[in-house]
Amino acid sequence: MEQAAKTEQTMPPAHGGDPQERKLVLVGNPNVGKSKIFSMLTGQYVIVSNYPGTTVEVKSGKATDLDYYVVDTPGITSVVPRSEEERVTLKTLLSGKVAAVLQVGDAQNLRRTLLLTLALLETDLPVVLDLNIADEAEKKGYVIDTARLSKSLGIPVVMTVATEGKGRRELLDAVSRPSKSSLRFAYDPRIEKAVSELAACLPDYPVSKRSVALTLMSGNLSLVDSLPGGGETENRSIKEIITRTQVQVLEPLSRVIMDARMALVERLIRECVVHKESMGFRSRFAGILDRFSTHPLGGMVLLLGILFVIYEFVGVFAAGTVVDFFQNVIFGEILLPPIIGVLSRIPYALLRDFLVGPYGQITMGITYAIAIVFPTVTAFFIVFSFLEDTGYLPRLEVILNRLFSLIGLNGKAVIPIVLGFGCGTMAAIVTRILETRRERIIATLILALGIPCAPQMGMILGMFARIGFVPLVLFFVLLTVQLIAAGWLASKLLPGQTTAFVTELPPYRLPQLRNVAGKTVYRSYWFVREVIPWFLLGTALLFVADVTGALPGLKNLLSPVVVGLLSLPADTSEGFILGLLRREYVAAYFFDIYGRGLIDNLQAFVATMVMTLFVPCVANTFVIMKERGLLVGLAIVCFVVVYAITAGGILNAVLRLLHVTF
Amino acid sequence: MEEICRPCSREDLEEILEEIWTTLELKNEIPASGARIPTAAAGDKLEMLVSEGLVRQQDKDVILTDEGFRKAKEIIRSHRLAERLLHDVLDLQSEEMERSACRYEHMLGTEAADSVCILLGHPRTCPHGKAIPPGDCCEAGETTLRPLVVPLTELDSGETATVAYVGTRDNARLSYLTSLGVMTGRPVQLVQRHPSYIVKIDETTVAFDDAIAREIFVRPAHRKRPTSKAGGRRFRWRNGRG
Repeated sequence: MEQAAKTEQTMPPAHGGDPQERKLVLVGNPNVGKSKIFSMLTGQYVIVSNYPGTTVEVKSGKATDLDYYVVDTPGITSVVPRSEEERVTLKTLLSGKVAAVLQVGDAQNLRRTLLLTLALLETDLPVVLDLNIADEAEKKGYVIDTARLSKSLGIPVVMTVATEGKGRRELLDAVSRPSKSSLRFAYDPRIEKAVSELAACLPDYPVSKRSVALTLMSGNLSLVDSLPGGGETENRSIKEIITRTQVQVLEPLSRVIMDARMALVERLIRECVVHKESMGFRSRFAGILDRFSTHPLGGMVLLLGILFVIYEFVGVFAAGTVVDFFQNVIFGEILLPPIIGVLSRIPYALLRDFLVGPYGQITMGITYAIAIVFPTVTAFFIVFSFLEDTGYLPRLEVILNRLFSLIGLNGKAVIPIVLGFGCGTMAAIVTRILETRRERIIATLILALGIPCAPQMGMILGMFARIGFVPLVLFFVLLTVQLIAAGWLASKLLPGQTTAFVTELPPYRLPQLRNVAGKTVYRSYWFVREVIPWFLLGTALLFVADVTGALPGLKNLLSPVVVGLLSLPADTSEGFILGLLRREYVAAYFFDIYGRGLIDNLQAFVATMVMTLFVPCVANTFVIMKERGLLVGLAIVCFVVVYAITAGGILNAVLRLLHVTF
Repeated sequence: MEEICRPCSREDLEEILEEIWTTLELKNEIPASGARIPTAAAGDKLEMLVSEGLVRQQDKDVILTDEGFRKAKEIIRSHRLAERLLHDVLDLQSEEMERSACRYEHMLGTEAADSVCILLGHPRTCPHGKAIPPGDCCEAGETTLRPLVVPLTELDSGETATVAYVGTRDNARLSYLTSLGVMTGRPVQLVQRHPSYIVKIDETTVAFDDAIAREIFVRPAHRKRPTSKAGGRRFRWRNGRG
């Protein structure tokens, strides 16, 4: 079979031209392993996790053993899109040049998988069905007759265990010979009549008009407007036809369509699937954990427990012990003395200072990035990657749904917010999974305002490991209260309503060491590549400002705020300027000067609050403006800056009034 | 006076049991398990009654078995509750009421009869003044009606049910829920109610809030009422005959 795939590869492409012309689009329900299959086909590394919504952007790459350009898409539940990222998948299918669709499905959830298959077959694109997670299905006692299923559907059907690379050869073979299905089934005559009427109004698409018509009828009328290529008059007649049909049929159209598909799916399942006794696959422990983690009280206890572990591991161990070791031993004793020794012989004072001075590239830029931030952020990524792979994150949605409804969001928003603790930039993109613009704006605001990203969090935890645990709790309580207040206010100001909360909970799975390690390395590498240039740039800017004498002027300018309002040393305004470039830079800055005893506990507390609330870094700001639009983006940034300073000032005054010194 | 319904082939046994009950009542006997039945009441269906285990022959007597008594009680109860319902609530007059009651008695299951009973406030007698045998709902003194199809919000944690329908006209939401497996005829198990609803459908676990749960209407698999067992057996008996 490997042979077949190779032959295909050496043969000239059927359609000629460059490989980008032949797209193989991966489509499927969320959390079935599309990204893992993508990795399998292209050899490219992509982040895979155990929660729906890991992939929010289309990724593509050349297949290693096939003449295809493989496109990975965000998961869709049905062909009717619910959120921006689902819309992306549909657009990809409508974009043309799709040589074949590879539907990845969960072998345990065949009903849902086939329901989507039937919709995909209607597109008239060649489809291949891959039933992934075959190992779990087998352990649960599902025996699937793929040969028979393949015959009934008229397309190749294979089974894989993507995490172990099983079934790769069969998959490659199947994908190299995709076929259009001859399966046809009819709907209610009134639906069929509407389909042909709609087809007359639709522009040409790379997929069948029948499938577009059925999708439009399965969704809400507003879906018509989001259809690419439709004219206003056509759209109006499309809406008319749908409304008229709806009046005739009475039952919601989507139900009539789904029922027809479902009847066929049930028949296929009766013919092709045997469910034997389960082998008791779910361990007792997973069962108990499942109940406990979504229990109103147990879930909270577990959440606090997890947070405490993060504090101990990231704050106390990584930001304390490991950073001390890096800073004092590796940099302080081993690396820096010889480097400074050599470089201080440079005859040009300016160059010398540029490299190893108080604002030196090596002494400040590199040291901050590698000695302080890197160990902390890596530790955080380890915990984070582990949590992602267990399947815990969607459970958090269940626990926090009520709380989130206070701020006009629902449990779904837990995913982008929690991801914000990893990286705010990434999280701002993930807000796409939210259904309405209103929800996306509120979530973006919360993220920009007060969700510390991984390096920042590491620094906060590291600092509080020295200040104390009680102040840490106080800090987060204060922060949470502010975020809820801000979110609540935003939800009152923005028109619209909170949408209903529905989410799918993946099974708990034991994280694979390889995957957790892979993700950590990938993210740490990304951090080094992405962040160090910014650190060097920031340091260079400070250096220039210092040399030209602009820095003291700037400090004077900011002094009323920094000294007067926040009672911080005038020098720390340079920290906030750095914060504009990268959030973690300001965090590392305060971590450093606190470690050197330049600020006391109270000042550290206030400074940490301000920098947490303070404006997001450049990359984040750009993404916010790109995702939310310039106007909303600017409004969010302005609000955040003003708010951070005001809140810091009030906090400082109150704490001093109460004589709290920690 | 109350009439005996004209037997129709499918419901023969139920009709005969009904006749046995009323005959006993006419003789001023309180129908009970082990009661001696006039052979005439059983008519030519005696053999069938015996084979179904509803009566047994002891010497020359025909005796009502536990099962037979229970069945008979159920059918009488359904008939007379139906009469009350038609008479009191729908205000139907004698003849029309009788005709309908004869049909309803075969249609009302134990649970539906209990629901009618609760609705009417546990009536003691039918419009003709005959006793309505009390059901479990009367003993439990239930006052709130629990319909056969309820929104998911009415289920207890751990209860299983079958999806009856999803009561939303929002096409997109309907498509989404169907794709998750929430569709007519699928069995669901409610895992928990707080802080969010969690249900299991096949191998899929779905969490949602109140707004969605209120739109999903289900048929509880078995009620947490003492009648549940009896209901199950009745069902099997009917199936056996069908």
